[in-house]
Amino acid sequence: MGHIVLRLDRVMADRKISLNELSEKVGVANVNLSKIKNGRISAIRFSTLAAICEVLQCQPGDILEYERD
Amino acid sequence: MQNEIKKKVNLFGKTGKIIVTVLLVIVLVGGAAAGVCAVFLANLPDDAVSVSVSGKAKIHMEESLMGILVRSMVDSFAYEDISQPGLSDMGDIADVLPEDTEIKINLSIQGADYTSATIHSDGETKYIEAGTDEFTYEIDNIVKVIIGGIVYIAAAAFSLFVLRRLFKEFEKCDTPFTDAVVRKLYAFAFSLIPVIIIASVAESMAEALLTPSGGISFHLNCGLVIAFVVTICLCTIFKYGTGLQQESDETL
Repeated sequence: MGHIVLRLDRVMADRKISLNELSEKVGVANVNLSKIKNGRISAIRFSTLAAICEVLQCQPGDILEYERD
Repeated sequence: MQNEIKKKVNLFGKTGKIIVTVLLVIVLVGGAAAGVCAVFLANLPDDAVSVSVSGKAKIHMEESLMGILVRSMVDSFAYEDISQPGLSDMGDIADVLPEDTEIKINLSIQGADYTSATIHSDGETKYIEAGTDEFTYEIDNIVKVIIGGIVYIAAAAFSLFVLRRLFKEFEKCDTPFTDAVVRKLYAFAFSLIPVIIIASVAESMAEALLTPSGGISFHLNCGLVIAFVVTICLCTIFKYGTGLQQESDETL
C-alpha cells in the first residue's frame, strides 16, 4: 500500500511564502509545520488543511499526493 | 490551556519529588539507626541484659454461664488429662476441674497462650486466674529481627528511590504520556515485589522469635499488594496514552 505525501513546499514556492509566514497565518507552530519535511506527520486535521488551503489559495489536491510504495 | 496542564503536571512532579525525598531520608536515617542498634546489641555479652515477661488473665462469671462465656471469649480451651471422651460443654468441665489448685491448661485469649490456671468459687461465681509461661527475649533473636527490619528498610528505600525518579520525570516532561514515564512506572511497580516478600518474611520472623507461642504464620501486607496491582493498571493506561500522544503529535 502507498502513502500520502504533503507537497507543501512546492505550493509555498509557487506562492512565494515562507514557512514562518505560513505558520503565522495558519496558526500552527513552525516546528509542527517543519515536521512535514521530516516525514513525521501521519495525519492532518480538516481544519488545518482548510486553513492551509485558505492561505495558499489552493485545493487540497494541490497539496496532497498519493505515492505507491 | 495545554501549557497550564503541563505546568500542573510539572508542579505535581516537583511536589512529589520533594515529599518522596523527605521520606527517603527518614527511611535511610531509620535504617542507619537500626543498624547501629543491631551492632550495639550484637556486641553485648549474652548475660548483659535479660527481659522476661509473663501475662495474667482473670475470668469470672456465673457458674451457670461458664460454658457459654468461655466458649465465646477464648480462642481455645483445653485441660490436660481430661479423661471423659467427647467432653465439649464447658459447664461439664466446670464440674471436673479441681479448684484452688494450680492446673495445667492450654487457654488462648487474644493470641496469648495461658498455660496454668487456678479456679476459685465464690458462691455462684467462678474465677479462673490464668498465667502464661515466662518468656525471655533473647538478644540474638532481637538482633535477628532488627536485621530483618533493616533488609525491609533497604527494599523500601530502593522503592522510594525509583518513585523519586518517576516524579522527577513528571517534573521535566512536556507530557506525562511518554515511554520514559511508562518505563519508570513499571520499574516502581516491580520494585514493590521484593518489599512485599521481605515484609512478609520479616513479620513472620518477628512473630516466631519474639512471641511466646513461637509459631510461624504467613503474613501478607495487602496494602502493598493493592499498590502493586494499581500501579500495573496505571502502567497499562499510560502505555495506551503514549500511543494516543504519539498519534496526536503526528497530527497536523
